[in-house]
Amino acid sequence: MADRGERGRPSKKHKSSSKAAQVVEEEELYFGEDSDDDRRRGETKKNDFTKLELKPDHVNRPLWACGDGRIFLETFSPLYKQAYDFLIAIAEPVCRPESMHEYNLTPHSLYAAVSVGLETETIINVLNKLSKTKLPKEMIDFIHASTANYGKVKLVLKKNRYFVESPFPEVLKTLLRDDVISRARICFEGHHEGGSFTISKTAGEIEGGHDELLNGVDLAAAAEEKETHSFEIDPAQVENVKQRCLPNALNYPMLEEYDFRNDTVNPDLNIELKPQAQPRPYQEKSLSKMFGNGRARSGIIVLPCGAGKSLVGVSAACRIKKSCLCLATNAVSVDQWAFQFQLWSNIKDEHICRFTSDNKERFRGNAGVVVTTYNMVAFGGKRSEDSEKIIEEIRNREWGLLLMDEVHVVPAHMFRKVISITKSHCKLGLTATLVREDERITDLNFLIGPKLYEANWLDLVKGGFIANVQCAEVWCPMTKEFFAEYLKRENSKKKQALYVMNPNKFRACEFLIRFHEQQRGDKIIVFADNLFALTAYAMKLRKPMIYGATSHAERTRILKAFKCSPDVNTIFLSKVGDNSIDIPEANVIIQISSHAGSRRQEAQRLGRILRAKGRLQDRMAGGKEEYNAFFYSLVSTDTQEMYYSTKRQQFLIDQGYSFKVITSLPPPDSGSELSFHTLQEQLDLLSKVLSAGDDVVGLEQLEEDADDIALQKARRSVGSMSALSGASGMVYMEYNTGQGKKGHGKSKPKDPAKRHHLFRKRYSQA
Amino acid sequence: MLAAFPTVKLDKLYESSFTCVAVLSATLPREPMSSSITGRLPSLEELESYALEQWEAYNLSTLTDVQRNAIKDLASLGLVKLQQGRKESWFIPTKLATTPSVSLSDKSARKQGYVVVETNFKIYAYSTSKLHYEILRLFSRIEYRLPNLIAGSITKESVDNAFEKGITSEQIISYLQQNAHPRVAEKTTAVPENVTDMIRFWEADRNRVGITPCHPYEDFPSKDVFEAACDFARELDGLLWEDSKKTRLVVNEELHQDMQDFLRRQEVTTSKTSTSKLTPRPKF
Repeated sequence: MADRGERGRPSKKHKSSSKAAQVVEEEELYFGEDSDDDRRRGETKKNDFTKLELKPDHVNRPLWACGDGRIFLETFSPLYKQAYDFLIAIAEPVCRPESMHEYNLTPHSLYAAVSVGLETETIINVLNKLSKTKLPKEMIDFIHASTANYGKVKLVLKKNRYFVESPFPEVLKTLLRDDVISRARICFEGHHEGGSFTISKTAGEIEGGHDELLNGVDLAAAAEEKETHSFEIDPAQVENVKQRCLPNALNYPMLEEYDFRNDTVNPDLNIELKPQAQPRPYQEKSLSKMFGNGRARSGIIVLPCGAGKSLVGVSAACRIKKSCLCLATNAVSVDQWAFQFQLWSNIKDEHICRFTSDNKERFRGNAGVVVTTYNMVAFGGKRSEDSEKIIEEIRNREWGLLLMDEVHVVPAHMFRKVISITKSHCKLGLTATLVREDERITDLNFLIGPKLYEANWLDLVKGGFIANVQCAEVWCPMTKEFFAEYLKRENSKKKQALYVMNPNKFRACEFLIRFHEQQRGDKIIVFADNLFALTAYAMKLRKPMIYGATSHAERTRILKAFKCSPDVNTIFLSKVGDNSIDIPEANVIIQISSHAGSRRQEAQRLGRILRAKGRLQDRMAGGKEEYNAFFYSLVSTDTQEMYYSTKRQQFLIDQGYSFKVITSLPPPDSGSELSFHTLQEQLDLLSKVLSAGDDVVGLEQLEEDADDIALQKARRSVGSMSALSGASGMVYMEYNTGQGKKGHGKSKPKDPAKRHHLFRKRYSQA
Repeated sequence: MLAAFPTVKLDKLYESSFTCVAVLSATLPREPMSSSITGRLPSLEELESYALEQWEAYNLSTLTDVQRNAIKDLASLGLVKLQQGRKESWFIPTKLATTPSVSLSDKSARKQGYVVVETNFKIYAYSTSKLHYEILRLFSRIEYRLPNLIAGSITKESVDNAFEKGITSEQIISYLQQNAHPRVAEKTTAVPENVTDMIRFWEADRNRVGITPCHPYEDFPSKDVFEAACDFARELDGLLWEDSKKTRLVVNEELHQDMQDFLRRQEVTTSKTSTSKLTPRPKF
């Protein structure tokens, strides 16, 4: 708006310019009414890459690369597969729908590329080969600038001590000039400040590279048989030092590699994959990124829920064959991880133990697998004697692999604590959704390592590896009475309860449950964050429910009934069911309330039904069943929910999912058999909502049982202002509505001076 | 209005784009050139020769003075080209005027499509054309321009802009469908269903509040008069709102005169019992 006033006044500068320029200027005056237009024009000027030179055979090449780092990839190109694998290694995916993918080149993504063994020249050459145009100079410069320092510094764990290692002593000196790093340095007597480094030969280290997996460049070869210089740092400061070395600070990102085959200090663990455990192509690929040069790299592997993350984790442990510490978010998933280890590998029962508040198994032998929760390790309070002993063992052991499940849900401070307590050679993070509403995702880059691989959801759907889900957003109009109360100021704390308890939403939910239970024989999960609504819905519909306060025994009983009994086809879950509870039978989700605009929760909930069911050939593209899973999000129209809903779906939409909007549920000709059909019933419900205390109708506060603290804390942060203000530059509904109307005063008489010259001429004649 | 001019019914969609394109380029549009020479800018000679072989010319002498005046404006807009012959003058409707005016109705005349719309509301246009760019910009937010690709996205904001200009959701959708890139055109839904649905919803969203001119009535002398007035208005299909507790009602403005007559008649019959005078308030 501010620039409109300026445009109204033709500035002298323009008047003196040539005639052609004047035409343009006047044209802008004419359209100056439409301030939005101008803004858009500004945007497009910035992103105008029409001057790039097209190669003559551009049709055969799959991508465009822009000077600002944006890359467009045609998925129908014959080179798509190769181009995808390459791009996912060097760039961040922005969106990946069916025909055209978009990626962004960032310093972090290039760091990840270097750490999986790609070199600067390789990146530029391959990119150039795939590009339809000549590579923009800015992009080449950017790649050079971003990767110049990469791969020069390594962080090595030897005999439970951390060393910063580099073949270039001057690089180490640069690092030590940094306050944080120099303070973290551990100096021994005889060493002078800033003086000599420990010098050793790397000869022994590089010989062991059995590169059967490697198809690219061998990074180890670059180090040759040089002397390496190193200094030791304080284990408690490791994360700070790593952070200082990241691209946004000193820009010497550290590589973490573990030469496990030549590790003779730590005892081997006898663990092999069972013959029937056949990793799928994408699982194989993600492992090959991790073990690219015969060593193990730390990093994160991103696979959709239900795509078999646990097999990747178990396979990694089987390759390293050293002690493994596996961290999960809660006790239920601890059990599930222990089960997965036994399912896929030949590990002996005495070599695997679980460590939770109910289940304190002691570690026997000199190597093994320990499965526990983040909380158990990070817990700061007083522990029982048993726990203290086990923790002491965890602390003193040098772990071959630290396997971390659901890394996106755990808050950064918890990670710091866990990582500073446990010493591991290699860290592998697993997750389905690398999005958070706060800025914590970048933290993961230095806490664990770069993203090693990220699968494309649509490709997995096409391959039949995960279910093809039909997503729908059901618009439920607020009833007149509920909406009137919703708008009242004194009900501000009951807003959520009012739009969740909207009778039309209830009826839509009831209709969907009936339809899927009776017509298709499906298994249904209904999610509600709002505890008041959860209880009210479950009681009215007479369905079992699980929430924070439900005991472990009760949970197990209900889940078992849901799995086995033909009478229990629907369960109601609060947000305790978002993560890691494995319910492979379910294939329908109805979401009646949710946590504000959390994209992660949406993806995570969808993940509950992604595990593929039925026969593979039916699921493949062109198979019998087009859709075998259904995700409904019920939204009360004209309420906050609409805005949140748009925001929540963004992640899934970027992965190529589409939400169909359904506006008339239940269908107009039916519905009398459903609840709340009469006005009186609806009014009774309304008075029930209004008379409930504010504390009752709010969000569920999970009990402080040890396992759920992590979840709860993570959730709380999600509800912060940054979540509401909308992350990552997307344009959301709410933010637009007012503007369109303000800017266009159509009937406003135009100032004759602002008219286009064509019309001015005409009017002056008249 | 123009006798010799073929009846050109411009779609709103194109109408606003004309103003943009015509004003921006000031020369003849580059769009209708054959695809073999799109790589560079056509010279004026090429345009001339192309024009003569492609376009129909009409004699200026068939026009009235008013029409001749108007044709000059059309020429400035780039919709017609004026041609001075030795004896007579001619005007030629340019491709800019003729192409878009047929493309929505005549499918056979259409060229190969160029637009891909994705389920995430992104729009990718394989085109080097300035006209395509301007048309897309009417209802989408252009994010990137590449040598042979325009990338943008359809947002509520961007289609709202189009609606403000009088473009309808159906026009946007049919434009996207008819210009679908061959890669997606063969699918059952060339434009994803969720996108077309949403564009329609966004349009419907603007029409939820309607404005009807009306008159409120209050201070009825009795409940009977109020009810009679309600019945009267209801019968004529003009009763918009009533509140029987406070005896107030609102009728359609068209009914105002009838209503006043009716109430005056009522007043005559009830004037003995009531002194209050029934006065309609000025309209809202």
